[in-house]
Amino acid sequence: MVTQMHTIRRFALLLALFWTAGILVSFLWFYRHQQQSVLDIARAEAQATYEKDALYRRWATRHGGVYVTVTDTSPPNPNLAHVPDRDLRTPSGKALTLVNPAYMTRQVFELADLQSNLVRGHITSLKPLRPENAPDPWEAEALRKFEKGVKEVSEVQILNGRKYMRLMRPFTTEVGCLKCHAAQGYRVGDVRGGISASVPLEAHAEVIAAVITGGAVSHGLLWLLGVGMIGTGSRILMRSARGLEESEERYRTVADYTDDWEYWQSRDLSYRYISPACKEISGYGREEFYSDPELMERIIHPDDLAAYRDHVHACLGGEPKPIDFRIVRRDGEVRCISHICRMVYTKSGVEHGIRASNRDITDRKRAEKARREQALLLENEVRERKERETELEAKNAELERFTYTVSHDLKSPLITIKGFAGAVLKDIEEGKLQRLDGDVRRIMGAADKMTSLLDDLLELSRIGRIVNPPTLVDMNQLVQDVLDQLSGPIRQSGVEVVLQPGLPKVWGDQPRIGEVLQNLVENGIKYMGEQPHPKIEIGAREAGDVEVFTVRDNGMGVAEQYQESIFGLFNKLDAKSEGTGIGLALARRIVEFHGGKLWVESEGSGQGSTFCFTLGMAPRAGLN
Amino acid sequence: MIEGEPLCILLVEDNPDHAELAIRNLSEAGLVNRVFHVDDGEAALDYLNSRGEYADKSAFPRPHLVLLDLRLPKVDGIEVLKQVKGSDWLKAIPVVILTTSAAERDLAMAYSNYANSYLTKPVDFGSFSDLLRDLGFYWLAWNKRP
Repeated sequence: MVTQMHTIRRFALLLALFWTAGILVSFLWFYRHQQQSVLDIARAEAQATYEKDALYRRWATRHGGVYVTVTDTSPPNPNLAHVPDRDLRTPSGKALTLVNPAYMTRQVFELADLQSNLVRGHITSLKPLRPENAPDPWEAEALRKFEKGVKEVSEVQILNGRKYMRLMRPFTTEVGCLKCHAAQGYRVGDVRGGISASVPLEAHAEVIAAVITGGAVSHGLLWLLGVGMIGTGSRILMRSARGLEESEERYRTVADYTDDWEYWQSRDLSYRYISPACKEISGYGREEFYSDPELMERIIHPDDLAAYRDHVHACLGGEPKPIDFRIVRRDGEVRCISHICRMVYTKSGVEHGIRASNRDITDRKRAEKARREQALLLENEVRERKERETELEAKNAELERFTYTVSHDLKSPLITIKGFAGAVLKDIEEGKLQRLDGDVRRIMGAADKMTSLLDDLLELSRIGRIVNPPTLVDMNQLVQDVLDQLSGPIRQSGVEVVLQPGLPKVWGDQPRIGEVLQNLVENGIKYMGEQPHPKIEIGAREAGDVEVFTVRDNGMGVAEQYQESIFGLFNKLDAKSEGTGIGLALARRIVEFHGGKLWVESEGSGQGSTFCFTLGMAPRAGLN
Repeated sequence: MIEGEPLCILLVEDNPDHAELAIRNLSEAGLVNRVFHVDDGEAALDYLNSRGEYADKSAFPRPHLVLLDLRLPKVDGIEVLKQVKGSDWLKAIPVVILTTSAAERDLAMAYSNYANSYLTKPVDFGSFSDLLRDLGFYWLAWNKRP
């Protein structure tokens, strides 16, 4: 994290600052200490010089001064004029004069002054016998301090542009002193003056400068080392923090930037991670789930809760299966969730909770539903269209068959008419009259045939166009009516007709069903063949849930191969038989308009035949 | 032109008037010795295979030409054609379709079942006569029979 990097940087900076301050303090202490030592050494030197000077002086005092050869630099001291034997003359004539201790000291000091690197001494007093011995201002100040009892005064002073450690001690009156200074009123023990020693500091300063330079260098090195270590340490820390940060960033990017509601749940079902999309999907923030892991179960749709619990149980058992469930959002909206999860493991293979993903599939579900509905609609439409198409195809085929049949069958009598008319004309031209009668009859027969064909066609076309409203038909009554109508032909042919009582009632177009029955009975009479005991039975039987009406005869029968073609328009098995061959086609058409079927069952030629039909009309459905 | 062998046609025609017209025209052309007329497909097959009432080969000889109508009771013309052309014994006999139908479907069906010729009955009497005369000449006089 950036803050972690900042912390490390700040801490390193602080550490460097502390380190620098520590080094500085240490160096300062060292510097001051060195400076102090210089002064101490100089002071010690000054003290030593003083002691030595005092010692020599005391020695000279104790001896009441020393005699030296009179030279220009050492003339007889006028201040000692009152001292007897001030000047002596050796037997060899050498002139000697008394040099008092102060004078001796002064001379030594003057000697020392000639060499710049030596300690300079100065004997002085507030009341000097000699004016040269008068104190400089610092000495005067020190002398006044001595009078107040101070035993030593030392200070660094700049003299003639050079630094000196100056030290001054008082000079008390001893017995020997009174020889010269008694006249001034001093008594033994009085502070009569002082000797100051000035130690030049230059030499010491050079040494000290070297030491301090050394100290500075070592401190500098130490500082560099410390700062370097702090820098390196912080860099290493930063690098590892950056690595962590990058890794964290990578995983956070992957985990957070997802539209799915991702989470990681411990085995105790507390959450370890939840992606922010959780809010988008559920309306609840992830903090709410962190603090209340049971919230999940509360927002699941009550109808799906049991399935979800089973799923969680299975998942903890190591057999997770994807599941879809609904949740109720905070705003009350119900959303569909596709949930998928799996157990996760640590590197060492220990179970480490459940990693799950919730995807909002509401829109997809809606789209699917819409698509399904659309597909269903389309399917229905396609089916309806197919049905219509099939119907249309059937109608087209029927129409084609019809056209074909009609054109063929109507053309046939025309050929006859024109053919024989031509023959008649030719015969008349040739005067052959014997065939005329027959030919004209043929022509008339063909015209009649044509008339009946046209009538039949008209009749056929009426089925489906002329519709009587469906009624509940009493079949017994209807059959009886039909038989009454056909009583003439039945009597003529001697056919025995048996009607099964208790025929069921059916819904339908009563006059049309009557036509069917009439056609079938007529057919039975017409094709009775050579049967000596012709018999027609009319009845019904149940087949499944439909009622099958039957008209059975014991006549010619129909061979299997003709059991379908007899229902074709204008088809006849026997070319010489009466009629156009429309009867069965018409009957079948009527039955089919009732939603039923018409067929024939026969064991074959001479075995009789049974015409069967069903009527599938519902009570309120109309004929169309 | 006409060989000694008696020429024989099998006319399969359900319409007795048409049959009469055909027979009259064929015989007037003077080409044919005998025209055998049957009025349905089943009878035609029985004749050709010498079955049933047509078992007597001397009375009902193998025809040199079959004139076949398509719309026939019991067994229709196409079925008859199929059986003739499917039989090693019969397929050499020329079969001429003579029908009222000019429908494409019938035409295609006839030729795809190896009909030798397809003729529609002209409504006009003169044409009908000419057609049958020419037909007779072509198949029985000009045409080399197997």
